[in-house]
Amino acid sequence: MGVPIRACCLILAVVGCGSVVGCGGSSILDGASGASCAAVGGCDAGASSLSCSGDAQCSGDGACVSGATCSPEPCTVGVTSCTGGARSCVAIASAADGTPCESGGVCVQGQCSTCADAGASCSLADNPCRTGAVSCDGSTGVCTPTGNVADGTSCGANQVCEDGGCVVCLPGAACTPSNPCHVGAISCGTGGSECVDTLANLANGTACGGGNACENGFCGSGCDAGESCVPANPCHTGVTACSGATTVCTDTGNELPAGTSCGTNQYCSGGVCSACDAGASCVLGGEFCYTGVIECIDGYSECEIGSELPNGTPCGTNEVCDNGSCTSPLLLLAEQPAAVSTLTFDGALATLTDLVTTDTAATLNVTLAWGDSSATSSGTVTGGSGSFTVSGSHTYSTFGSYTVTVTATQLLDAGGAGGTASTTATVTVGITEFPVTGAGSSIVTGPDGNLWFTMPDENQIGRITPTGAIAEFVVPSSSSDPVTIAVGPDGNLWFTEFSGDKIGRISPAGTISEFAVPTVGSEPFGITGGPDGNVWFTEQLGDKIGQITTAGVVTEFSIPIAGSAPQWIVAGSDGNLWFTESTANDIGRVTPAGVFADFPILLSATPGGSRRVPTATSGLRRTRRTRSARS
Amino acid sequence: MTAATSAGTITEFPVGTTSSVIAVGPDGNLWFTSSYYYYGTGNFGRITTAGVTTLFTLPFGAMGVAAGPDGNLWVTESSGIARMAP
Repeated sequence: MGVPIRACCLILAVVGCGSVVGCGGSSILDGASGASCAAVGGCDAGASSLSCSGDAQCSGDGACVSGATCSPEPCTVGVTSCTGGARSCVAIASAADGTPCESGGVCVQGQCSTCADAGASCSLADNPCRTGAVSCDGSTGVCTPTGNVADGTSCGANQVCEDGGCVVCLPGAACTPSNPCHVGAISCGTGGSECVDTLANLANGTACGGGNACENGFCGSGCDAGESCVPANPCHTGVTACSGATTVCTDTGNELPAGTSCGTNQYCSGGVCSACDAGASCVLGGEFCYTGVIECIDGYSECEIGSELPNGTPCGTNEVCDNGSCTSPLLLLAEQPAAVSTLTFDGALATLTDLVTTDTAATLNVTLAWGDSSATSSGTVTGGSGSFTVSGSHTYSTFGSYTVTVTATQLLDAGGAGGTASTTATVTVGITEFPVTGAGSSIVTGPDGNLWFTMPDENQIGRITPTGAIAEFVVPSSSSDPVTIAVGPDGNLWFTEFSGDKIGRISPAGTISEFAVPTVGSEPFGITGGPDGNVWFTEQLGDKIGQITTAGVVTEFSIPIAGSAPQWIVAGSDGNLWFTESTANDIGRVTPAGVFADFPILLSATPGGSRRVPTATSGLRRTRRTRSARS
Repeated sequence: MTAATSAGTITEFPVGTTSSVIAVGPDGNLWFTSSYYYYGTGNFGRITTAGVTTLFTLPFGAMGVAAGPDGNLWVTESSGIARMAP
């Protein structure tokens, strides 16, 4: 307050001046103290004990001091206006927060607040980005900061709050995001300026710092030509080539090593990326009776053997698994049927084992080829649960042994595997066998209506009736080797003793007589009743034809051809004896008087033409052995 | 198979197998054995007087052969005597 105010005191009315301090020279006294109020309106600031601020006191004489501070209403600061001679107080601002006001309150934001408002939100006049609440200081309320308003809250044009402060922010303005090759835009949504990546690429070639250029949204370190890279075929090697700012990976055509991974469960093989799911199951198929497990070997998916498949699992061609092996479900085992005397066979031929135990006789088809010229027929199948018997019936036209082919097949429409099996069984019909002590050699019908035969190894002569009754008679000389037997003119049977140099005679009743042949080691072999009432025989090693009377007198005739080895002899219809000469390959003829003739066998060119009469009988074998031993 | 007449004329007939012992059968044909009873099975042959041959398989090797008075053929084998109807 300066000089102008002191000058106005000269005309102020003296009302209520409480103090004379600093008010020199005035005729107006304070109403209470009597001090001069000449200086009202111009009081020194330091004369605080003198209250000259009341308009009534200072305007008692109608004086008005324009510009004086006044208070139009509580918590409002005003200034005195004297315009037109009328005094008024014009509000110019709110009283400072905390200014005491009536009823013991304090001014808060221009309002007189009492402490009853404590905690209420209030605004901090000096910072719109801070929140405030009324707090009490004694009986007065004060707006004190409590925190920040939300970042991004506008606090003026192009201004937003950030961290409790009001900052400038221009939304949408271009900026550089973290990827310098993307387009950025300022966002103010979360406070101060934030550069948001729009993910849009900057133009290729745009500089992105460090001498690099953008390429497809990335700030490259330049194009490293010659560097290895992955071409379109991940199983080939690639080399980097540059085309302007564009990097190109050129396929070299060279394959990566087989087995190189080229993705999940994918491996290179032969330059091609193929899927290979190691450990996955696979089907081995074919004749494998195991599950398959994929192994990736050199990139190739290999189906390796896993665990055994259940028995009966179909495999291969019309086969099933059996303990890990692929085999035909059917197994035929031929029976060995006994020979039958009749020409009709009727019986079991084979047993059939079927691994498909659900098969029944009705689902198994069996055909029988009987081994003669007849058509095949169906076999009879009996049994079940995998075990069957196959039988059949057939009538042959002649005796003999026949090979019967048995073929079994599973009927597919019955759910079988279509398996097949075959076997052969030997069937003998029309033959009746009568066992004897040993091997028989020569046999002839005797005059008694029975069959007579020799058993050289047993040194016996045997007799069998047409109904099969057998009698055996031992030759008195041991190891005589009775070889051949014939009917003599006397109603007896005559036989040669090959090793005994004798001729034997046996009556139909079985009485044996023996007669020595003069030539030692002559090996009597063939024998026959002669037309002259005698018995004739050959001497194989003696090269003679022998004649023996029914009384046992022997006469020998030497064969003109030495070493001819005469064997078989019969009486011809011409009254002569005919015999074979096995070594000379001739047919010999001798008259009852002992006159020989020789007829060479001219070998024919026809199949079966023989160089020699094939008389490789047991006697002949014995002969050769003997000769060898003696030579 | 070889036939010789009384005058010494010899005729051979192929029989397709070896032949050993021969006999006139009750049927008027000639029957011959062609193998030894040392072997398991063997052929047994029939040849007509005209030379037509038929072979039969026996379950055993036959040695000797004879026409029985009963109209059957009888042969010796390794452990028995067998009877067959021609």
